[in-house]
Amino acid sequence: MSNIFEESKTRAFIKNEGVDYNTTVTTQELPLEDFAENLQIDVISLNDEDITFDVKGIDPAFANALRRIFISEIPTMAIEKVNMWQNTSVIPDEVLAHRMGLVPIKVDPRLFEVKGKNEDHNENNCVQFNLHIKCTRKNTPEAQNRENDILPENDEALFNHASVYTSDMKWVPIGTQEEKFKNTPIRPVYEDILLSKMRPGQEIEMELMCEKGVGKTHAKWSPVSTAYYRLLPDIALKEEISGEEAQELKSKCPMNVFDIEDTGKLFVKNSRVCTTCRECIRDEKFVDKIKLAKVKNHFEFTVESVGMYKPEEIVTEGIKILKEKVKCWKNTMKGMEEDEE
Amino acid sequence: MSDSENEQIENQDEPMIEEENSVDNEEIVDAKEEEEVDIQPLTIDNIEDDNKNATFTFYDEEHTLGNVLRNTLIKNKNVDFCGYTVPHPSEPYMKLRVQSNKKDAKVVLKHGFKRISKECDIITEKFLESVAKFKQTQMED
Ligand code: SF4
Repeated sequence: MSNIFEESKTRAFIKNEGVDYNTTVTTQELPLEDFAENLQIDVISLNDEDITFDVKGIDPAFANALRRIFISEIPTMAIEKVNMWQNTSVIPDEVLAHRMGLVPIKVDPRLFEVKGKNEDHNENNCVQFNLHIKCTRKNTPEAQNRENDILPENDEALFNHASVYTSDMKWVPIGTQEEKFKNTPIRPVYEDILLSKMRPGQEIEMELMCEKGVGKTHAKWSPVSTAYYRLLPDIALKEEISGEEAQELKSKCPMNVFDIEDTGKLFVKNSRVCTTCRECIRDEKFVDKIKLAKVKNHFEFTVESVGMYKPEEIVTEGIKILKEKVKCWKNTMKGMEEDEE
Repeated sequence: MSDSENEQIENQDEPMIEEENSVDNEEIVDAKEEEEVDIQPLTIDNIEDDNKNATFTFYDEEHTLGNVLRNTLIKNKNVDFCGYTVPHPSEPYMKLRVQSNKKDAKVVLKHGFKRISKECDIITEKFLESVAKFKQTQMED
């Protein structure tokens, strides 16, 4: 019994219904050296779009603060003001303007400032794009035959610019921006986002002003599509399972957590992929044979970038923002004390 | 003659009234701006027992900072009680209550800030290390 008690300090047990989670607040502050020693970070996978990494040895509060910052407090550039000179397409002005706001822009936001309330757009707080496009009829016999206009199979073959893509957005450098971004021209992250469909005679002309902001204000500024963490699963067999039961259990798990040895014994092959679906402990007879648990201080983060930052940059920026936040408050307190004196 | 004089007076009066109005308007605008500037980022609502107990109000903060701060402070030996709340989700305030048994609450809070920032440093360092390690193993493969 005491064994289970000891274990419940580090593990949360998954039951058929719900989870046994004993909050264990460490009431002692670890010395920083110990904190550094206990802390273990491992990158599991990393590519241009997402990163998965393990963090072991931090509090849930810290993990959650980081996740919240990744989603809503890392600044990016997004279209905020739209001057619409012409829009005869079927999409209403305000819907199109909102749609433009959601287009991710590939530019390093760290090189820009947040635009002040009374400030004008300038080279340090704004990126401008122009989009001017008109749909026309092509000069082919099929295109000229108006009967083909009704539900054409391939409208691109009949009309010029039947579809408006993000690649039609033209970056307009302001001031010294042309020189500054010579090697990394500013553009939408993806060139093939469909913005609108048009028919001959329709036209869109607008100026798009990008400003710096954070996801707290509007999700268009969020640098991640998803950022989440979960606790690492810890699965073990409490007793030996072999023969038919082993086969049954192996086929039960949809994630193939279990496998069978040559001797016919069941073993846990890969506990990380477990999704906590509880399929393996649904049958009464297995409830006491399997230990389904989560490691309480082992977080597996997954951060999926939209494309403005590299995924690993989002993590470092996030931690930096938390640090700056704390530093800023510390300075505010200093200021308060000086006032009092 | 008297008519035209009257007119003149009226004409003089009108711009004067307008001027007065415009002065009023400016004052209103000024007051508004001042109001905005006057937002205190950090206030101490309540401070008692030799400054050992205090409630702080943080402007423009939420659970992101509140929870880490509480979690860090609660581990401090000098803290008897620490809790935080966001009184209303649409108001940009976070309140933090600190009750210490030995020290000034402000000192305790500052210690908490320092601790978080140091932990951030360690995490950044370790994270960069592991990213470098991962990239290297990928290169070798
Ligand atoms: S909970 Fe689901 S995924 Fe996890 S081991 Fe059991 S059956 Fe497999």
